[in-house]
Amino acid sequence: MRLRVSPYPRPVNALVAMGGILVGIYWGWVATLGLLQLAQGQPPTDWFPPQTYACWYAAWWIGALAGLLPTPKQAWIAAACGSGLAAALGSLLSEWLTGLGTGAVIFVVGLSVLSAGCIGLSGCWFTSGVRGMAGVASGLTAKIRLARLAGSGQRHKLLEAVARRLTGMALAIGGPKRSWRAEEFLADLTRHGTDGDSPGGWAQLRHAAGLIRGSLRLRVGDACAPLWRLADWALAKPRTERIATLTVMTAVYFWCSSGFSGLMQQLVNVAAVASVIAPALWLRREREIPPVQRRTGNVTSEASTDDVVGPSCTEQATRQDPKPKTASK
Amino acid sequence: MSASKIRLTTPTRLVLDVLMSAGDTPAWGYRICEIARLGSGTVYPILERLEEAGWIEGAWEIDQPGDRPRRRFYTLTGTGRAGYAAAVAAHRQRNPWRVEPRRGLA
Repeated sequence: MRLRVSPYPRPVNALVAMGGILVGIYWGWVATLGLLQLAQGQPPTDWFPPQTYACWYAAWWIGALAGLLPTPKQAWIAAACGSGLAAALGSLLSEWLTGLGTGAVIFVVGLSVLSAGCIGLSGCWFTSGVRGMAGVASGLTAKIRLARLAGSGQRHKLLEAVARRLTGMALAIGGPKRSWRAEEFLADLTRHGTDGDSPGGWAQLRHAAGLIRGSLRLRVGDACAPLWRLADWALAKPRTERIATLTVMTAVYFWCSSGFSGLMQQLVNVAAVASVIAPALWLRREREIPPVQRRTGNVTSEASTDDVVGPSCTEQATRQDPKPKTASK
Repeated sequence: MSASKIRLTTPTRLVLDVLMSAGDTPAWGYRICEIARLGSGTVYPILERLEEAGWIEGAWEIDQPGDRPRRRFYTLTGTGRAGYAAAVAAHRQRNPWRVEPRRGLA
């Protein structure tokens, strides 16, 4: 049975395309501002001289043109290489003219390559995203008209179609790691033959919206897993106490060595440390992080990371795709 | 903290309640949402976490129905039962005054 969750390729591309447009508008604005300053012969009011803005502008156009290439990979490579060269050339020119500094040149080139790569990618996504959105919009418009003409039966079909597309979007948001859940999601969405009842259109829509929410939560969890791992490592007793003690001692040192103004300044730091410690201890209790385990023997070492990290990060880190087993039920 | 340890939030406990009381009745995603009275956006992340921690086991339906895709059935593993019992005991020890009804498939 072929699963078809959506007739359009990756509807989430539309959202990414919108992000790309926003990034493009921002960089275009920055570059235009710099060019205007250059044209008026004014000294640059920002961090970089006008030549740098000119390079950014060129990089932006290179990225936008690279977005026309057929595949995202080609677009990214073309945008990154082209705009990187343009930015490098312009920044070296700026260095020669104004003594911009090597660090700033590296920063500008890196930023240009990154932004042009983003724009190049979003250029491709823009094409498919607009096409997908237009298709969805026209399809839904036609179906809404049909539903109005035909009554509740068509309305049910319309809601089911929307719910299916939302389910497809949830799968896209969930990422390739969870694509194997497509069959499960669709089975739970349609649930035909369950106790002889047929799900209502609005119920399916609610279920599909929940799937999107769940996929978003899972992706956020994926993204935050390294941070949780780090937090759990730092929160294991007695690391938190050591870090806090070190910070307080440093604050006291600066307090003692900087006079009254340093005292007032460091008092704020001590208060900041104190305000962090209480939530940290609460988090330790909440995530049930055990103390650092020490091995007996001559060599004293801390427990392995897997022993001290919390459940969510370990779960994320050791995530394995459940193999599609079959049940006898 | 070992990988098999799960924080027992209220939604997680409700999902585990449903699975504990399932017995021979197969529990699948939507059914769990319906009985636990939780949204799909809450239940599926919990199921994924539990499955990764080894508390539950998912398996596809053997027979291929003609009119719909296959369902995925979830059952508690031995680790899950033991972990759930320990977590519930710890929870009750911390909150002895809280008595909440269990929701099940029966």
